[in-house]
Amino acid sequence: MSRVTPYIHRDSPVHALNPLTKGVFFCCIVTIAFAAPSVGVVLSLLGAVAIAAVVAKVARNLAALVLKSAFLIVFLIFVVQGLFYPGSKAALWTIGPVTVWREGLRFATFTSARLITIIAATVLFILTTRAEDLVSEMMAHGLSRKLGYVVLMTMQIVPQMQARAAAILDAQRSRGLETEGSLIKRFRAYVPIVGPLVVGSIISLETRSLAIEARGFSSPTRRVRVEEIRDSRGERVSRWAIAVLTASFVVWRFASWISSLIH
Amino acid sequence: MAQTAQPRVVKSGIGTMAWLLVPVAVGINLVGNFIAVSLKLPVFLDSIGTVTAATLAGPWIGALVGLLTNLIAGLLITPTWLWYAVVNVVFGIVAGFLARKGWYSTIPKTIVCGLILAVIGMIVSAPITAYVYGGVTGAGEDFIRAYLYATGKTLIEGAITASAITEPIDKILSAIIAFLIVKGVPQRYRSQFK
Repeated sequence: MSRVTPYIHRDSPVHALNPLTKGVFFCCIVTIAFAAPSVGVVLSLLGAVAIAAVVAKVARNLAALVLKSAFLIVFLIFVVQGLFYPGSKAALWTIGPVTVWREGLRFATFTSARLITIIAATVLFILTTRAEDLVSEMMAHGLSRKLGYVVLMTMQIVPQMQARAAAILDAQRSRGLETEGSLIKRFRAYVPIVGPLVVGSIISLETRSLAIEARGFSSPTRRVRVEEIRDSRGERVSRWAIAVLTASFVVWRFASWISSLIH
Repeated sequence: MAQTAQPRVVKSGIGTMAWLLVPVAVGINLVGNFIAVSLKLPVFLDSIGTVTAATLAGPWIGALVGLLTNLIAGLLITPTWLWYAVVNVVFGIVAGFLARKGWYSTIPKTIVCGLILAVIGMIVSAPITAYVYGGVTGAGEDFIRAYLYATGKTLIEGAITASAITEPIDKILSAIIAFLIVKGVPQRYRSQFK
């Protein structure tokens, strides 16, 4: 079965944590990053993520993925905001017709730092958590069984469909389908590629439906897991603790924002 | 074996076929996008599955498809997709309700639906773009946005106006393709989804 997520298996305390714990921490980090009042807070979050990545022995992979995702956007943010940030007054340099503004750069730095932190937290979570484990844990904690199963199935089907799409693309190309050239030609190529894939997938639905029904999809019987996932009291407590802390932080930020509007 | 005049289908909850439509529709969304990117088209075409699922099985399945699409694409491609999940969810809901009211019956009506989706898409995604990125997404519309900032608009206005050009084309195309797909599904299959 080809892997959907970039999960990398390592022997580390971070990997051994319950997926729910990691998920909760991830959500909290992202929330705090969004509500953060200053670059300092954001950078300390980023630092925490970096440390966790080192502990989880995925630091290099994390850096590579974050760079890949964020580089172009950060560059563009700096260009667009540095040059065109509305309301800028303090110019830093002027090269010909182009001016770089201090407010713009400051905004760009803050936004980029926040973005990178969020991406880093996301990547760390993905690299250290197996999707099946996460869904399994959520099902054990009350997530609807069918919903969880459907999520898992989606993760399996998607790589299959992508492989089939690539195959159809090649097959149609070898039959003379034009996939390069003018915009119209390329638009015309879309349906002959996506069409067979979609039709095939929908027709196979009925067969799949019979298959999973035969495996007890709709059965109301209680399920038992083959592999239990470790959870500990300490982890449960920490989940609640950080959730409460994050919620208080958000409330505090919201309150200060409201009061800044009034005064 | 006497049957009363009208056989009734008694079903509670969401049928298996409807649940199964979700992975396939997510696949259609992602593959649709993948092919559009491979062909270097200027449109995303990542909501075809959402609209199809919403038309066949209702707004909530459509919403689920939208949510899962962005979650999985966020894992597979870049995390950028994650926070736009809300947008795809809204597409599912709106398309589903439009379909229930019979708005997907003819091509002209479908085009209108595409426009509705485009407008809603712009409204929902503009604040996200403005807040998360300060208005930059890395797509071609950024240049339009830069021009708008230079001429004095605010972040939100810039974000909205830029996508005003790409979104309608994208959504109308998606709506039409979804319409063609639904038309192509034989009637006997179609009833199993509701």
